[in-house]
Amino acid sequence: MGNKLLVTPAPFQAKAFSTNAIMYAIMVALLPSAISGVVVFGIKALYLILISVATGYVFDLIYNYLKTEKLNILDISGAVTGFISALILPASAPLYFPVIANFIAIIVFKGFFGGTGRNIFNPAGVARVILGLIFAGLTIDMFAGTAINNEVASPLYYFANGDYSAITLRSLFFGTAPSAIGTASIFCVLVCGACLMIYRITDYVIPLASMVAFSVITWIFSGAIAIVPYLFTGSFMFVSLFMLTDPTSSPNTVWGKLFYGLIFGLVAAMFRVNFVLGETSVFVALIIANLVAPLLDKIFAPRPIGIRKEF
Amino acid sequence: MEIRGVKLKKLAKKNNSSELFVLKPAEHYSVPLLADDGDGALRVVKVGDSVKEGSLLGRPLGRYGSYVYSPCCGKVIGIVKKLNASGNECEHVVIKRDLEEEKENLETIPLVDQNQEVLLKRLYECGGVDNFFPFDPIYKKYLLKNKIKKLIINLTEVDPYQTSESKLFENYLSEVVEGSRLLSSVAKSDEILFIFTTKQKNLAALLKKHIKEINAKNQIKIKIYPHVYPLNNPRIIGYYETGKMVFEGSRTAETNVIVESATNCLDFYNAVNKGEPVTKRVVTITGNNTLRKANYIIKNGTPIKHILEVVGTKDAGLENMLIYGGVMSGIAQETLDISATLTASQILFCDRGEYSRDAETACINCGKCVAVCPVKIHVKNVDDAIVNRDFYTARKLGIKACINCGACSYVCPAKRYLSQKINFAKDYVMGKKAKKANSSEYVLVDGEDIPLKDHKFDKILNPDENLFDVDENLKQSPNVEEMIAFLNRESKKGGKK
Repeated sequence: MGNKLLVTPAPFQAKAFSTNAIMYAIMVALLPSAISGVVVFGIKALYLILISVATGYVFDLIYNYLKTEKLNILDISGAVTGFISALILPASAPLYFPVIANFIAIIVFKGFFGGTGRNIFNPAGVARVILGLIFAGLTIDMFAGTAINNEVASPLYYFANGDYSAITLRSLFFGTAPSAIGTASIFCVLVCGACLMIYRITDYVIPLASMVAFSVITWIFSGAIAIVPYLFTGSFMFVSLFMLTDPTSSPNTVWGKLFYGLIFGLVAAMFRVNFVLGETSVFVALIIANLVAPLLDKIFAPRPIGIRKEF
Repeated sequence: MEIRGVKLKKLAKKNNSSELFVLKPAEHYSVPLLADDGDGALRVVKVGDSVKEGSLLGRPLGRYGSYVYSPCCGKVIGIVKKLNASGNECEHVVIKRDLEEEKENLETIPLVDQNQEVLLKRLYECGGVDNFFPFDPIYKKYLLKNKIKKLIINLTEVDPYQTSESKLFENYLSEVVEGSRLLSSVAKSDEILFIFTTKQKNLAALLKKHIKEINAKNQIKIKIYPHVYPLNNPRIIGYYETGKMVFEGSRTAETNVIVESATNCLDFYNAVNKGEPVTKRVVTITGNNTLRKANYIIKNGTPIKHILEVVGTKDAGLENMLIYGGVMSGIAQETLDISATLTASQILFCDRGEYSRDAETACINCGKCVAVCPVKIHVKNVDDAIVNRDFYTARKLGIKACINCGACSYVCPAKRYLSQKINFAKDYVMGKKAKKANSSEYVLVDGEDIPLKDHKFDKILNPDENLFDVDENLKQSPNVEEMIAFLNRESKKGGKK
């Protein structure tokens, strides 16, 4: 026993669960949606995804290297952002779209705001909003149809005219309806989102609250018939399960999370009912909810028990 | 009420044998006169004195001192001033054990004389120390004038390695229950509540059967809590039971409950009915580096080196860790030159696989720390403030409420050193100074068989030399009446200091 003993302060044990593990889990959970997108929309979707993941990873790596002079190749948070950026683009988008999106997301809205954990907005969401503003209107809302070289408009355009029969529920469920690459198949999105919730990787209060608020507002303004088609289109499910629950830009406390979800659902439904922004509307709602998050954090901050009031 | 905390996962194999082993006696005992923190005891023996098992070694010194008794029969061969396991400098009485087994016990209290005053005096004399508030001898919480509604016996074992309390309870069930009834008559409480977790339902069943046998259904109640750390903390249990959290340093008696452990019940039972002062306790000895992991009855002042020799160790490379206390809030020791005291219920000798040493990464703002904090501190904001060296904000956010449970550090996916930082900031805000490093070699005592080495922190004292530079009036052990008056004045102000 001549060996030296190691001394550190307590606690000595930690849960075997790291930030990187969360990132890998989310990456895996996004895969089924991506595969379904590639199967339905063709090889171009695969190119978009690959370019986006690669640029996201490289941008993050370069930025972190310039900032800390350390090359942490295991950190895949940039690749996750890139993956999500690609999945919310239509398959008809040009191949340089993901590069622009990732530059905006990772360099501007993540890096300049202070790096991992300091960004106010969801990087992929805010990049998508800016893309939607630059290439406004139909350019980004035209989707590659199932047939080759066949472009169709978003289902939202039909719904705006009160035509709910144009898109079948079945096609929405299995992702054959026109939509963005990863958000088409509600089946994949729901199952993978539920898996993440069960393993406590993402929060369950936020998506449920947002769905409730969205359904109620839709029901009030467009009637009960519109609820399911509205919920299953326009990337709403994908955003509320994978992007809204991004821990960095969401509140910390349960009450904060509840109101955050409600606010997002409400704003997203209002945008959808008054059809102006098209497919971009849900992302605008996302960044509005992101903006409210710090305020909610302040309002619902826990009050410590067992101390005297000093200040 | 929402029960907040974490479910700890055990990394080592838990030992499930219900046996308690008595540790082979050591050759030397080095009894610290200060078990953990607080005022300690004033030595009443000098080098060369012969002591019996149960002889008085020290009288309480100051308000937070307690009696210290000899763990074995033998001769005092040295008085050493060095650091105890908690890093506080105090005198250690070194006793060389001889082969005789004479005992010097307190008088037993016959049943007819067991009134509240006599029992309280015995609680004061028996030398028990609180497990969780180490500076507090166990009798202190019974002195408050508040009406005690419930005496809570907290048997929850949520630390992943600890099994000592439940094994003690299994082996000494009737003694623990009797002890709790004695304590309840000291506290004049209406009922006794035994608290278990969902993983201890077998113990609850045992107790239920026993209650039926002794016909005490009206007095003794059982409650089962979910298996969540830190339920073992008395303040937290008091909070869940009463809805009021006492301030740090105050006693749960202020909210009309007293929280005790099974160890204290057994000790008090022995002190009253057998006249044995408290000189031993059940300790879980485990960790991947130990060979015979089990629960041992260990005497106060047993050198850790001896314990590890008896238990057997593996030498698993350079990065071993000796943890005195639990894996969440224990103290990592720098040296084996410490003695077991009456405060720690577990001693862990861990190898590299058992403790985490991950590097800190950036916070991702997930809020898991906020969700688990049992005292509802916004840990993430506190962390931000401490990183920016903004101790004013940290204090404003309530770091003084922290109970050092470590749940936040445990759940953090970014592996941030949250609990460690808050601990540091708390000490900084409260003006505490850093403790000294412990001595790094086993040195001791005059006598022939152990070489005497000179060391920075060790001071060998002459038998006649006065040890503490304390006030004359503090040298007197305080009497119980004065103490009662003092404590009740304190509690009106709402806590210590």
